[in-house]
Amino acid sequence: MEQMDPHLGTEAERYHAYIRGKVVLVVLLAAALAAAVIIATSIGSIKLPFAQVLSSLLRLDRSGQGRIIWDVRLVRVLAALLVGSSLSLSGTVMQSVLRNPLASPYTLGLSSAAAFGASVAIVLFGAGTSTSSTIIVSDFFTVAASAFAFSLLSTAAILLLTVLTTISAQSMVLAGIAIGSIFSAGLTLMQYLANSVQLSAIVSWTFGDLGRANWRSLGIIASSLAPILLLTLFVRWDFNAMDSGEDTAKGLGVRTAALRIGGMLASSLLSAVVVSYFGTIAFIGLLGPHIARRLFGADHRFLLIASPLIGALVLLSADTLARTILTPMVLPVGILTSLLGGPLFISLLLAGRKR
Amino acid sequence: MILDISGVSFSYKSTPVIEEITFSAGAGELVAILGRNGAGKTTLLKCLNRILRAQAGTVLVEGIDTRTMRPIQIARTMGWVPQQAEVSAMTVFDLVLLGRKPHFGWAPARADYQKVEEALHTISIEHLALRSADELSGGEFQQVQIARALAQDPTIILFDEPTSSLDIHNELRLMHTIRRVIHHSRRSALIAVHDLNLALRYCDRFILLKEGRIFAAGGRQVITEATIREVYDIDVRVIEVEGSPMVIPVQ
Repeated sequence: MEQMDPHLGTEAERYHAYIRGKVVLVVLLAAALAAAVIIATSIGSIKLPFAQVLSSLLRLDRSGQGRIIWDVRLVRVLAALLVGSSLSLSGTVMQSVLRNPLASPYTLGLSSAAAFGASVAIVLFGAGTSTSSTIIVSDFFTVAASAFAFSLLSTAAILLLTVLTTISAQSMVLAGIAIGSIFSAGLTLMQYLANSVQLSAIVSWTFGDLGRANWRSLGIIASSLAPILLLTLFVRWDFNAMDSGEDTAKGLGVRTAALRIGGMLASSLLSAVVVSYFGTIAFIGLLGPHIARRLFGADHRFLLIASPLIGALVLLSADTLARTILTPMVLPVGILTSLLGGPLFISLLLAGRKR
Repeated sequence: MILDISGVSFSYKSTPVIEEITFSAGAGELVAILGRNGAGKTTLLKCLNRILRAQAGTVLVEGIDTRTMRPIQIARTMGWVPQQAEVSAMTVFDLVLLGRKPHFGWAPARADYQKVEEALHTISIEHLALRSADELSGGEFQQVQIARALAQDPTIILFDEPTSSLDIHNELRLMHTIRRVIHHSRRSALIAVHDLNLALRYCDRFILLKEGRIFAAGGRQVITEATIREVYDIDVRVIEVEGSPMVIPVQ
């Protein structure tokens, strides 16, 4: 062991250097995301040069091709950022409070509940209709509201199980799978009852698709994401304590029950808002947190920032690919995240763990 | 007295685990909590810092009823070293820094980092500072937990089998350190422990629990062949080695 003078603060200095390394990594991630935004905005049926994209974005120029950039591309790019970071943040929080690496909006049945809610609106409230050639969801607000209501219902079921029973945090994911399967059955029933137009509307809703984004829905998601991100950052040390087990956390003065219920409530609400608007986008809630854990370890000071950044980066990349891979056809990104997310997740599990 | 416990009882559902526990601990005192598996040692410790809510009785820390304290206030006055904890992918420094969590607000300050360093040095694990906890041995991790409780800078530290994963060298070293810190800083420690000889060697007072009740309490004189037979249901001889009592089981 090397000679160390305890008064020089050697360990603290080494620790600060180690923390600075992580900060640099977060900054690099943010820079990569910024670059991805420029690239994604320039790619599409009309290819726009990076310089033009950059200048239009920086000068808030919405004239000429600036209109494509602002009103078409940017809406979708921002949707990818907000949806990706929301799902990833939800997954991180759920995994922490349930202390289960499999917890995510998708695995806890929220997506199934939202899909069922949307199908109820389409079939029973007649919110889905057809115009001459394309299937559209005419009353988008009703569908989203119904999807939201049912995802809240599944959230309530999960929370009630957490609060009222002695069910362990680990069992919550199993309960989530069970709840999800109930709603999946309900969805199948609705599809069976639907006429062909309604059926198309349900199926098209179920594909997670960022093409539905508009400034209003982005505003709603952003105004859910921002306070929840702040709130979770505020209790980042509590999450760190919780990682050492419930008793240890209690011994450090953490109100563990409040943290668990509050965390589940906030993360479920956030993901409910997202899936109500955009449908099922699988794997982002797992991939984001798991990649972040590989890079940053379990320290929530970094996880809660890095995981949303990574979720945004992954979903933006996937959506850009979905827009361009079969040009001129634009695929719903949900198909791609499921298709690529599976193998990516497996390779992540096989790869060596890094601190 | 730093710690006054009076009439504390706790039941899981309707099964009583500890009943009518009354004792106190003074400044600079190490109190051993002894008894068989299931006698209620861990439950008793958890009732003191309100990890478990006792159904009856009062716990006073420096005269203040813990029921009137917020969890964070309790954490500032009582440290907790569990027998087992989940190992997370954080560095040792991160984990010991968690001990400062009850004291800092938004983020740790310079003084908090200093306390962490002191604790690492006291336990002699400064070389582990940047190792990830999930790469440590069980014994190393146990030392990290003790360091965290020291960094927490509480008046009372509750230890649940703090040396169960340690080799005899580290066990003696750690107990010696704990004793030195407690005596020196005039704090109190309550230590649930199985090894009677370890307890006799390092603790000042002894609480023998039998089926959730205090069977005997006091100084070394309570560790007798008769009390051990009653509490542990074994035959032992208590002999004198270099002026201190030693418990030896007989066949």
